[in-house]
Amino acid sequence: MNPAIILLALAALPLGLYNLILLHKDSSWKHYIGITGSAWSFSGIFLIYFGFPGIAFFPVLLGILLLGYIMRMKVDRSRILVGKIAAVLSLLIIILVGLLIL
Amino acid sequence: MLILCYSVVVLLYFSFFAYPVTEARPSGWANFTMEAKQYRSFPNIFESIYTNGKALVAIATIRTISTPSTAFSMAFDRLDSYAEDHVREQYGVDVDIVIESKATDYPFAGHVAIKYVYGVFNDVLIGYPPFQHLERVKVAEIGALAWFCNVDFESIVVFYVSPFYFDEDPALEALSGLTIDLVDDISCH
Repeated sequence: MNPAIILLALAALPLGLYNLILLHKDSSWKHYIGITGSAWSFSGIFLIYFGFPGIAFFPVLLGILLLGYIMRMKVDRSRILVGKIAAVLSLLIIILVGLLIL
Repeated sequence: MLILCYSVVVLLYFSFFAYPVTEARPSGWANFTMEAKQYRSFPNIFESIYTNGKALVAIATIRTISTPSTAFSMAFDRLDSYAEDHVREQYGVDVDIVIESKATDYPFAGHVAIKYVYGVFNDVLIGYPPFQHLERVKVAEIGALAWFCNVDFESIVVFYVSPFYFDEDPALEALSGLTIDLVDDISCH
C-alpha cells in the first residue's frame, strides 16, 4: 500500500483518540459522535482504496457531524450552534443535490 | 490538547498531499520522445510529455483524496496549453478547435473516466487542378481523459493529439494508431 494512504488514514486518528481520552473522564454522548466520525474517516480511506465511491464518503461524515450538533441542541440552543447546523445542513444538501443531478 | 490534535491532523494532511506521486505511464513508448517533469507543487504533480511529430500524449499524475474536480481542472489547465501549442505548431496557427463530445462515465483502465474530444479543423486543398478546392476538414483530434486512481489516491489527466487527415501523408494513419495504442496503454502506475 502506498505510504501516502497510510498518512491520510492516520490523519483521522488524533481527534478520535482525543475523544476517547475525554470519554474516560466523562461518558458524554458527544465523545461517541467524535469517535464515530473519526472511525468513519479512518475506515473510509480503506473503503475508497478497495473501490468504495469516494463521493459518498463526505455526505456520511457531514451526516455524523450534523447528528452531533442536533443532539447538542438539546442542552445548548446558542446562535453559534444553530449557525453551525445551518452551515453543515446547507453543505450536505448541496452535495446531495449535486450527486443526484450530476 | 485539542490544538495539538488539530496541528497533527494538518501536518498529516500536508504530508499526504506533498508525498511524491507514482507517475502513470504507458508500458511501451519506443516510437515517442519522452520528457518528464516532477513538480514540487502542492499537491504533488508529475508530468510526462510524449511526442512524435504531429502526435502528442501528455500525462499528469496529481495527488488527490477522492473528489477530483479541482485537481482535474488544475491539471486540465496545465496540459491544455501543451496540447493547443502543439496543435498550432504542427497543424497551423489558423486551426479551429471545436468540442465534439463529452462523457462523464467513460470506462478506461478499469476506472470510470471523464473524456472530452475536440476536433481540430483546418483548410485543406482537395482534388487535382482544375478541380482543386479548399475544404475545411478535421486534421487532428485532441482527447482529454481524467480519472481517479483509488489504489494510489492519485488522479490521472491525459491529453493526446492524434492526426486525423491522412490523404496527404498516409504514414500519419500509422502514427494515429500508435498514439491511440499509447493512450490505451496508460495505467495508474
